[in-house]
Amino acid sequence: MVSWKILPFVVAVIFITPILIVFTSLFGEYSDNWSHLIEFVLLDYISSSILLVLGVSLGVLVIGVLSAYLVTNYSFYGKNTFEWALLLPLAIPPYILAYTFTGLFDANGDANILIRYLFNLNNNFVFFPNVRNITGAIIVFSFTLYPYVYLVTRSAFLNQSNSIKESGRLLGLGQIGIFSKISLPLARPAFIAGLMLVIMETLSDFGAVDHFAVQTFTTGIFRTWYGLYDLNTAMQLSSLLLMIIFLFYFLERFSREGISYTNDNSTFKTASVIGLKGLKSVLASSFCFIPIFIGFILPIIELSLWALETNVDIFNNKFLVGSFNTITLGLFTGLICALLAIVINFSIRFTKNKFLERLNSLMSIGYAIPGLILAVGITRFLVFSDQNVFTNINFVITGSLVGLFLAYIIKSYALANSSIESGYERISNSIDNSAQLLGSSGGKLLGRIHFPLMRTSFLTAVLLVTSEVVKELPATLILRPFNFDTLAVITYTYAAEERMYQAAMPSLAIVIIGIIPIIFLTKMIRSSRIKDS
Amino acid sequence: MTQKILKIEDLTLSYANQKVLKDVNLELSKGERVSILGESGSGKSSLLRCIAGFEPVNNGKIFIKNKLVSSNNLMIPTEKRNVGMVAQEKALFPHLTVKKNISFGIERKKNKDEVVTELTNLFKITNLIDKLPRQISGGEQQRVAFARSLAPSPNLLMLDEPFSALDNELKQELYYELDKIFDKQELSILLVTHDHEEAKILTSRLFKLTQGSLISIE
Repeated sequence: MVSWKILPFVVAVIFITPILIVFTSLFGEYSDNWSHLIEFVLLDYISSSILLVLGVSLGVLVIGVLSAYLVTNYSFYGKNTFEWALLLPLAIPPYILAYTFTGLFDANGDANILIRYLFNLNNNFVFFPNVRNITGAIIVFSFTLYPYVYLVTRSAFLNQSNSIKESGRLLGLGQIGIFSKISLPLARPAFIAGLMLVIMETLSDFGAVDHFAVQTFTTGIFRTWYGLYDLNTAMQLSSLLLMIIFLFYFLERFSREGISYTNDNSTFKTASVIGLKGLKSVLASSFCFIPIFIGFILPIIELSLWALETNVDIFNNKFLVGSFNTITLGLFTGLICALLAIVINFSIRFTKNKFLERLNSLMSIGYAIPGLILAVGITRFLVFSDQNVFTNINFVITGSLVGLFLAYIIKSYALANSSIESGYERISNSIDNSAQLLGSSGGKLLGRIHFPLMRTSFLTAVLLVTSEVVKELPATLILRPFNFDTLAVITYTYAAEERMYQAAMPSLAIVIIGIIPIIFLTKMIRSSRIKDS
Repeated sequence: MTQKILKIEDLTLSYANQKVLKDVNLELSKGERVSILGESGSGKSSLLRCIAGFEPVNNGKIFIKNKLVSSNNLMIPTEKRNVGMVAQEKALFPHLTVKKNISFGIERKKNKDEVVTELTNLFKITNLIDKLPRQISGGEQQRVAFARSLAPSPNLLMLDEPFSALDNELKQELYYELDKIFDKQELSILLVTHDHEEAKILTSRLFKLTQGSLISIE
């Protein structure tokens, strides 16, 4: 029994160490660079981060909440398609939409060229405003991240009993009153939880803000480390960002606890769907179509055109090697995360230990940590290990794939864990009891009973983690071994050099792999619709 | 002459070519209390939903205080009918306190605090006003649901098996209290139930809905 408790404990220590290392920098010495940061740039980082978070919050709430309300409560042209298609922008990482936006809307971007051509204007005429600024970043984040809000809010709206809305109508409320006074307040814990995820993603992003030259914490950390070569100050800056992110992480957890109160009615009645006709139906369809168009269709069209139009050999050696590296890393990380999750969840179930349960929940915190900060903490951790642990055997792990795997595993474990946890919820305890009565306990119970029953959850976990790893940019950029490229790194490198045509094919490959989790989410949405009907 | 609160003329309702209500006729005067008995699925709740404006009617007419509110080509929205309904599921707003639930329909009225105080006294729930629905018992929730539906002074109060989830002792207690409250406020009540005894205690005229047709039984 004791051996089953050791693994989760060891894994938790490994997961938490890089984060603690980042925080320890706060108690170390502060260099001149820190004073420079405080004096000249920290205020910029804080003000742009606040502006970015406020703008993106407004954007995702308007798009996510209203589209979720429309598809849940009304019937209009294409409603069934919009239900799942509204998730498609999840497949586009913000940095790829940022690259597409600049390619489209820069002075010599395709959109401006098209306008000049259509209206026979001279070559100096610029119709679309510059997007390489904070407004552009807000638009990009809003249209790629709103699905986080849409997904949880739609689920909350679906769980609102029709009797509650009917009571509101009996008490004098019209359609707008029902939305603003009943549905929206009841869904508040859900959309706040979604919003917290969006804020964490926005604050963690590096690729998009870097491309738009917006000064945020992440670009500051990167510049301090790679521009000033000052890892310690980068860690101190990371600590500040991490504290802000933890605040949003706990707010998200807190909000999730409140979600249940929307669903406490034992006599639940499914919401009746109101049919919209004519102009109202067209308006509802347009409202749902616009975010899909901007967040998914437009970048896909633009990337495909770039990939097809260019004379560059798109399936070159760099792309093929990058794809191989990316998929191998993704699958291997997925496999490790899924195995860890299944063994740890089994340990919790087998030992019925509450402490292990809390430890597992703590390990899921990794998804909230920006890849860049993980990279900072892991680098310091690896350097320390090389200098103090592996000195006798001349084994160097700094700059090897170890750091990269560690970052991926810490960041993606939560995804694998949620899939395995939901798989375990479907296995009755009586199965364990029967197996134990028949002599299968411990490893045998896991191998002969649980693992075969959990195959689908295991596979789901592997695929979800793989698609997440494929998109990851900042940690990969920093922790990859020398000359080791992934699709995200190739895309970033080309885009940084404004070679958008070459960046198109790796971007498309990332998007295609990113569609995997959406297929699973769509399945969930379909099954919830079947339950409703 | 007493005022007609509800008048239903030749009401017909069908779902997927199956007639749920057939030529239903009913009249209810101010202060009158009527019960409709029937088995599960006999169309009792559908009748109430038509009166409330939740379901469109196929044929026939519904008048509330002599105003046409439903016909095959007219449907006045629920929120403009000034009718109340209490059902088994109570449907209290889970995010609002008892006090806010009760005052929900009269937020713009100047005397809303007085109305809430009067109703909470009447239903003996003054000690619960700051609690959320999940913090009170099923019987207390039902009292709040009654108080909330009475706050806007509805023309007609419809009761859709509101006692079916309560235990017998609680039911008897509520019957007694409600009987007094209904009398005092001269409320027009339309009760739907499958419990004959309940119908006899709370109402004076009894009907039965069988295969979509309404028949007077007492």
